[in-house]
Amino acid sequence: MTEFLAGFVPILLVGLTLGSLFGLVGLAYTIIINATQLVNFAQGDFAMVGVFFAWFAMSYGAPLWLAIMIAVIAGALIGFLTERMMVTPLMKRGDSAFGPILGTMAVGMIAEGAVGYHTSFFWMPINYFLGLEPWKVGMIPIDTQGTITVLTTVVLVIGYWFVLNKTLPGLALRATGFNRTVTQLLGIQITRMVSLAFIASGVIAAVAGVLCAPLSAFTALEGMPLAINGFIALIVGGWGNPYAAVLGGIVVGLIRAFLTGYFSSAHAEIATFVILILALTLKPDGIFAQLMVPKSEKA
Amino acid sequence: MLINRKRDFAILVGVVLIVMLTPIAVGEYYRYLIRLICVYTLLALGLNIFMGFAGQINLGSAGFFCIGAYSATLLVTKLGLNYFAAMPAAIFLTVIIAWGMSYPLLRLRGHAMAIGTLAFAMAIFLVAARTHWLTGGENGIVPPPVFLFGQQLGNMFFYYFILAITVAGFIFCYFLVNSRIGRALKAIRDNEAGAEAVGIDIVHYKRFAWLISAAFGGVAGSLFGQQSNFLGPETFALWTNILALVMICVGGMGHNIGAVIGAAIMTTLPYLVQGVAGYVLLLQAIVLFFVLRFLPGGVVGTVQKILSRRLQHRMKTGNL
Repeated sequence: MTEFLAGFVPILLVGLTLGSLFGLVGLAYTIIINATQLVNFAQGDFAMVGVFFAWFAMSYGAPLWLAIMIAVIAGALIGFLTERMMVTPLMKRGDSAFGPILGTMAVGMIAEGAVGYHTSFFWMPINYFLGLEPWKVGMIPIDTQGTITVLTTVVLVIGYWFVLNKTLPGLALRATGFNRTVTQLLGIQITRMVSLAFIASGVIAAVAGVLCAPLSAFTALEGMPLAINGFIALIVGGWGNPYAAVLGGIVVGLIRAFLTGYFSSAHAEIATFVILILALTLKPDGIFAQLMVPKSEKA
Repeated sequence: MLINRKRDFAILVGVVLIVMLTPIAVGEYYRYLIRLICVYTLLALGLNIFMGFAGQINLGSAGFFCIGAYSATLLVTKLGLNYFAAMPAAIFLTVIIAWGMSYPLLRLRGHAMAIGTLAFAMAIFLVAARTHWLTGGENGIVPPPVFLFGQQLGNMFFYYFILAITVAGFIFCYFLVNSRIGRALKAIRDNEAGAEAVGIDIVHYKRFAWLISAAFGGVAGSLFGQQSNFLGPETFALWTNILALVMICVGGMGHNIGAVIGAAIMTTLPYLVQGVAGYVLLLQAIVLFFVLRFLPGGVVGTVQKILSRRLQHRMKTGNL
């Protein structure tokens, strides 16, 4: 039994870790979707920028907590700049439905190009936060970085729920997503709410990136795979519902981890896309679409 | 803009004549560049039908490109087919796969369709990169030389072959967008509900545009596979999807000529700044940024706007 658990628990933890990362990115997408009905194609690059600044600070000898602070500020900043320079002007002009999609993509590509030029597309290594040695519970090894990732995700989701439901800006943000015109009539500045959404999204993506960086070789181009997996989480979970996106991420992460653990990693990657196509065909609304939706807002 | 067939064909014949005579004056390097531009023009033309005219979004055009390139090359290396038999088979295969994928993907709208198609291209890329027994994985394939009637065909043959196919593709698109089908596609782009109300079968026409787009991708891919000295999966990674999109955006979405201009600009750009390879991605990204922000409608759209403004001015002042 302990032998089985010693094999099973680490795979489960890997699944939860991957799932939390995908879920966090899915959550970051959802914040912007709820405020603007727009998918931010630079989401992975927000995470990448966070990793870059954390790595950059640490290469100058900054301690971990300071590096994470810098990454969070960088994430917030790039979110804000994307919204100011690209998204709002293009949405105001409104001549093409593709405009904002391509606009966020262009910002992401500029970030990729700039960071890639600086690092020559090599990876930006960040060490495990608590050292490589796993904790032991009996015979079962428990990965430290994975545990931190899962716990951070839980804290962030609870924090997001608190801000959204128990504070005034959260209420304004929900109102913006629910009905723009009426919200504007009530005297809430929509553009400021959109900025807020982009900043929050950038922060969450940057945290996800920094948590992910020790587990994978994060290069300037590595943001996009993370973004795609995060989006798959969003589709599998449920469009426009933050909690569903996180749960969808965990479902995708678990499937990937168990396929990798018991079959092979090459299959797991392709399986992710098969899951996406299946989800789009069989359950386009997502598995957890109605989760925690207030009764008044249910469709 | 008014359709002026005589003028358009005069320009087309002029350009084609110049490109046909170019090999006399320039070396193999520029000939390769022109072949590459032609291949990407085909890819961009196909994508433009789906995005510029039917108004749908496809971020996965490299998927078709990849299927076309690999299937044409694999049919030659594994089954020993002649290239000219493998090429139609590869195009057919691309269209069949696109037809299968159209059922889940074309039901989506907007952003979901964007990511769905992107995921399709990523899956194709992963298949190309991971199935070592078939595609050789990262080791790639070296396309064998092409023989016809016992003679090996050189680069000059392919120069004219690719040029002929590109011109044929362009003429096809030119007539398509002004035909009944093209008008139906434009109606779907401009107002989907309105198009449905006047009796246009939306599902049918969307699928038609998707398949045409796939066929163009397959043609471009099968030519590209033959042209590259080394066929590896990296060529079809994420970046190619975006590159095709950037091409039609820079050229001007919804104009056939825009696809040609965009393909020419974006294909030449990396070769112009060869000394500073690290900049290429950044440079292309900044080009996209400026086009989106300051030249809505791309090169062609902007030129058109300037011309029509000048015409209006002249009509106002009576100075025609």
